[in-house]
Amino acid sequence: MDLQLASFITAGALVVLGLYGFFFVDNVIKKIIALSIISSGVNLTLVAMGYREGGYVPIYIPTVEFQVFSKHMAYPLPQALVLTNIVIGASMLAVMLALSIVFYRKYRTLKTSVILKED
Amino acid sequence: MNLLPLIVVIPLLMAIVFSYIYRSKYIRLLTLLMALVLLVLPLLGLYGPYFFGGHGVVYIEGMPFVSGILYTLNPLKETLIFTLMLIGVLVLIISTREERLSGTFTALVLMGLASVSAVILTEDLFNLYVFYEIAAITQAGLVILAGREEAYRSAFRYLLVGTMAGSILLLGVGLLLSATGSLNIVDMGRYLALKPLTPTVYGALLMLIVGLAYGGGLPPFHTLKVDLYSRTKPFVAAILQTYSKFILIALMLVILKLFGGLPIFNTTRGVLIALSVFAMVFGTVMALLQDDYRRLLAYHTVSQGGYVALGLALGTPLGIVAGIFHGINHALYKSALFIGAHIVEKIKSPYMREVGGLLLAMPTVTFLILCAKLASIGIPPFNGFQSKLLLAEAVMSADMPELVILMLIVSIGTFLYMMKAFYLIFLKPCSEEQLREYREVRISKYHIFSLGLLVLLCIVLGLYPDMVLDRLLPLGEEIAIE
Amino acid sequence: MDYDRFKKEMEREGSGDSVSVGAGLTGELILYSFLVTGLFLLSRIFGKVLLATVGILAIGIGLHMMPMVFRFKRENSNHIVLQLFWISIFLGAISMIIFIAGSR
Repeated sequence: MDLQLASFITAGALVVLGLYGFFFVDNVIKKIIALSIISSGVNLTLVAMGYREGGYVPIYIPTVEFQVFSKHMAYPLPQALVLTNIVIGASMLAVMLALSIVFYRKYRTLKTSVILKED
Repeated sequence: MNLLPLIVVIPLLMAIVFSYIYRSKYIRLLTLLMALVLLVLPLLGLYGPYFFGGHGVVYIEGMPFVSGILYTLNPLKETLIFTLMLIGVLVLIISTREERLSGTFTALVLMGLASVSAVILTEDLFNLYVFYEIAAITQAGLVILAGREEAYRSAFRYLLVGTMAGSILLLGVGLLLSATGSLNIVDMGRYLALKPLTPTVYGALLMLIVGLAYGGGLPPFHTLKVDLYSRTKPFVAAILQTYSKFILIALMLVILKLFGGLPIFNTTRGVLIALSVFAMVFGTVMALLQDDYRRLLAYHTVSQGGYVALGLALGTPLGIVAGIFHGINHALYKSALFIGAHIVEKIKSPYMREVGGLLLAMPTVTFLILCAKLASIGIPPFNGFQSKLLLAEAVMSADMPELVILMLIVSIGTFLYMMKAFYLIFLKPCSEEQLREYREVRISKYHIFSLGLLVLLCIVLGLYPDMVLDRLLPLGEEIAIE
Repeated sequence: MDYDRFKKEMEREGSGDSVSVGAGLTGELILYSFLVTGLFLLSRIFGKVLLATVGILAIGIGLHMMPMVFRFKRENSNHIVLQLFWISIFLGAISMIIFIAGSR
């Protein structure tokens, strides 16, 4: 099977699974995990977009001629995007996990429907 | 030399500095100095493009492509950034009168100012996404700083949904990148107009709309935004609502630039108009039912956001100009109202039934708040009247008279709840004892100065709307769709 | 719709004075006129008999459900379950609309 197609299917499955978990699971930590799964799916989509069958790594290789290199290089832009997105996602997750610790200390439960009830 | 990036770089750098010196003794003085620096920032850039890293335009088969990140400045963006910085400055000035000011607050406000001005300036879709997410974290952080449990809860809600919406927005950006091979908005728009549409593009459009609804506080995300505004101190809500209004404007312009010329845009326009009408009606109906003054103002923000989105969603030159003008006016009078709510909260309480008779205790503030209220309802000679009139004209010329009727009905609702709040807080009779209690609270000159400045700007813009409109009109015609 | 019934309903929510009841009634009327004007707009743009029928049905249901404001307020609460429910409905609805428009 084509590697790129397989990664796209995996990414789609990850996003759908993550959305399912986000909307239907009641546990705060599991919701946060689901969010992290969504963002992994998005990252995988981006990386798979720049994939090229038998391509070179997009770093400068002195032994390869530039013309050949530029023809066979993988697309480097999505990789830069993914790096940035991982950092943003990590900071979001850190804040959310810190807040869920605060809520757990107060309510002694992780149920979202209890912690975030109407007020 | 073009110093355009400094608009983003200086606040970001200073945010890092302020988060290191957050316990310094001189934090109030430094915050005031920083506020002065912020006022100069919008003057730094020159009109035109700025290419980061000197990567300019590359021609591939005769087609110009921008390689690298591009910021542009034009009169429209300059006006938006000036308004943003002005409100940021006023909020920073007021914050120096708070008892527990830490450098963290200043740092977060600066981070928000930097990220929102980057969202306005940038022509690169991924750059926009990055700063959009930073703005989301910043808003949650500013609410967390209020330090109460409800504030934590609303920030947590905002972040939970925000991570989901942000991921979906990024997926949309990725799909557009795969469809066009570029991240520059103008290049993408040109490419999309030439090539036949694929489901990838539709998916990207859908995901951008989700990001727009979250960032701008359109339904069904409005309850999150309302929580955010009403759980923090009201003067912080002033800057929060400015952030989300300007993100709404920037993202709407991006959608217009990308998909404006495509056949699918007709349906998209319908979806966006429906969303904005929902925002208008939901905001007003919910505001009518509130007892808490902060919550009332928060729902009012949602309904005015609907007006802004309605103007932009029409896509006609007049509609775009009216929408942006209303956004600017809204940022001004709404900040005045929030600062007024801060004064009310300081004196007694934000619950409208617990206060009353404030008119006798502080007539100046009452007069200024009344002016801001009249501006928000849309009564001449204030700026709200000018922009609502323009909006009504734009909607009429787009052949939707029903929406004008709806706008009028919503305006009547706005009038009703604003006057209800005014009566309950300022006019309702109160006892002598209570009046003495009110008079004991000292209101800082900084609060009255900020309130007065904003109201003055409302009146000036109401009398001379051409000051802003002349700067917006040429760009409205450029962006508008046929 | 009955003023007294409305007032009783408002008193149960804890705000039964005339100012609040007036505001609540205005909210009710705004919601109803939103329904009616929205249907006018839709039926003018699409001009279909089906839409008009559905519109009259919707108005009838609205009349039957009166007062709508209290239900509306409950749906607009900040309970996370309700919020996520409406967000998922929104995601589903706009994906349906855009893909139907795209497939045409």
